[in-house]
Amino acid sequence: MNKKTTKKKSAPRDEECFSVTDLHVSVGDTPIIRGVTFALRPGQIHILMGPNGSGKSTLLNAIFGNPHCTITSGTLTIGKKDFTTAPVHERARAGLFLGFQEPAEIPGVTIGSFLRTAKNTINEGVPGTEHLTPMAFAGILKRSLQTLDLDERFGGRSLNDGFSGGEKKKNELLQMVVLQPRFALLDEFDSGLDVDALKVAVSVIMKTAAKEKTGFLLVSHNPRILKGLTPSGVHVMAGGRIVRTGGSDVLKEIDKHGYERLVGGIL
Amino acid sequence: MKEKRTKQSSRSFYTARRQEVAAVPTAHTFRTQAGLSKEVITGISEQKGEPAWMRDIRLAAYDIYRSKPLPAWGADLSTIDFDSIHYYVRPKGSMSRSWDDVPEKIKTTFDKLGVPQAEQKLLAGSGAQFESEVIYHSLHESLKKKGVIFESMDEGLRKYPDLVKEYFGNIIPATDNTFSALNTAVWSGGSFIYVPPGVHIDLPLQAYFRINSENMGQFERTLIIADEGSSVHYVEGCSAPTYSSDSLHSAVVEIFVKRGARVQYTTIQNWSSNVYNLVTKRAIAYNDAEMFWLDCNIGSKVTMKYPSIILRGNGARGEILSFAYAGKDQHQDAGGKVIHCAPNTSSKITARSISKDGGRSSYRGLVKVIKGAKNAKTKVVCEALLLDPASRSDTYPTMDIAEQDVSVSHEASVSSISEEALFYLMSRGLSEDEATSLIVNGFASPIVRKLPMEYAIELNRLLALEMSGSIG
Repeated sequence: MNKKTTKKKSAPRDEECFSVTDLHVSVGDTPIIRGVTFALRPGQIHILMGPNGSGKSTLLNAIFGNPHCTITSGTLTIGKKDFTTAPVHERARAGLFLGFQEPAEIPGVTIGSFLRTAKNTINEGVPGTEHLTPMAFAGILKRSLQTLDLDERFGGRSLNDGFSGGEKKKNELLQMVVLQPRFALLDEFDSGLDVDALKVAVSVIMKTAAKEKTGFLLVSHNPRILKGLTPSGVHVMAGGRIVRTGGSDVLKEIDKHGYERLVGGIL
Repeated sequence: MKEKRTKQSSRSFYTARRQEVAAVPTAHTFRTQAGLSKEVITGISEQKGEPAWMRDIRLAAYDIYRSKPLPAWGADLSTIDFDSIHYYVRPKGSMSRSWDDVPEKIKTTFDKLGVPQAEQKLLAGSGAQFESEVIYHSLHESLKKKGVIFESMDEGLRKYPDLVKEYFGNIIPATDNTFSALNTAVWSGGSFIYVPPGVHIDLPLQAYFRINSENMGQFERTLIIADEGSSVHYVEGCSAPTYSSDSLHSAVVEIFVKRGARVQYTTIQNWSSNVYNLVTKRAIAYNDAEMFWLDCNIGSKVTMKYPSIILRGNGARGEILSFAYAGKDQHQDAGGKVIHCAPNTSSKITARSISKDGGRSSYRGLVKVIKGAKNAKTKVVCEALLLDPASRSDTYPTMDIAEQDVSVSHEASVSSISEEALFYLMSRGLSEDEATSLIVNGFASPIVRKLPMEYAIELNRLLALEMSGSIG
């Protein structure tokens, strides 16, 4: 992995949390998120679960400033920096990453050239990093592709253009690995991946959390595929609120009884 | 020293529109009075000391021009003031074979555009036209030895009058349209290329056209003859400084692609926003020959240009790639025409346009298959990208198919930049401008990919400039 980070120099930055505080979000006139609070520490892996329509994707989109989601109250912060109203790209530059459930297709733009542009844009705000030439970036991309068991030619393909569901998810992980965010929010990262690809994905997430100290929020509605992970926390969402927080025991409970028992009253 | 200059100036080769290369005041030795008359035409002919038959062709074309109205379709041409135009401007100095002999002020202009430097490594030969005359021309020795001719059209007429007489006006006669008549009457400059049988020119030949003075008309005339089994790639670029009054550029390009030959003609048109660009381009492809027009229109106030291919021989192939960018106050009326006149011919027209800030782009195309052109195949794909609601895109496709045994397909689509795509790219740290620019480059990439590397980089850079600082 690329070691060119400045973690040692800026130790306090490393300990900063990503915090969501009493967040309320509407889509159109409809309130969807109704008071969500949680904090993500560097290197931690949290899992957000919940039945369809519970507001998981809306929460992630709101955190990223999707224009369709209106934050009506609450705050988003990393350390002391508030980005509740910041433009989308500044959230990325602050160190956040969103792995999309359904990423957009951008014909004619290769993954390689796009990621180099993105990496350089993000690096501008990170002290100690430098502008990457195409040659220097090619090395980073190659290593990242290997990490994910992807063919070298993958980097030359148009961004998500004609990709299968699995390829799209691998491409999201690839971007996460290359961009080295401080906090990664992955929406349904497991859907569309076969058993082998899922193993690779889980191992990449574990390693990135341990080595790069990236904090993860993994969104899923399938408790089984998360078995390989050892989460620091599991949260269950229903009706736009987090209704249960716990550890792996929550996963087991969901696996055994479904959501009904946990959130029945709210649904 | 030279190395350094290359690097510096290649930057502004085609990006000259924003970081504009200003007009360095240059002297001219002769300029016809404003407006057009028989006297003006005779004057041009005398200046050039050309044979009487060419003068007669000019005068006959002038009569044809006078008898033809302006086209009632396409872009608005009513604002052209034909009487204020100088139809011939001869810059000071004669044509040079060495760049060092080019007058200093002209050299400064071209240096800033990075033109001569591009030649050294990437080109088989190059020419540069300033106002009405070609002021510089060169061709690699090895190609001269193989019998390749690459001259200005005027020089071609002086040295090879019989060849010129045989081919001049054969594909595009003066009677073809108003502007082919005008060009035939007042033509000056342009390129004359002959490639002998079986000779392949691996690197492109380049011509660069510059309008530097105000109220000027540039009427170059290009004739390319690719003899049997030969191949050549010709690249042209152009620019002009912006003046408050308009200039007119009206070229005629005729290309003969003989049996089994291949010609690629690449244009990167970046005229300033006060130039009317009204050009007629047509090629004829004989048995198993291949013609490829790669036509990029970024600049000009108005462009009307539809590169055409007549597939004359059995098995001939034609391809037209048309790219247009229309910004504020620009109207790009572009496209292409293919006429299938023989069996087993195939053609493909791909058109992509981008309209922004109220700009207007139109695809205008014709595919014609005559009776008896059996097993002809043709495919037309037009895609338009509109960047804001004030901009406009139109498609005027004409299909005229007289043969039953053919394969014809046509697709057209208009799209805008989706919020979803913008959000996705911005979530990776790109600003809205950067994201837009990337999507636009992606849209243009099927065309840009076909350009030689240097030009592809410049075109992308130019598009990025056009996209910057204007959204939201």
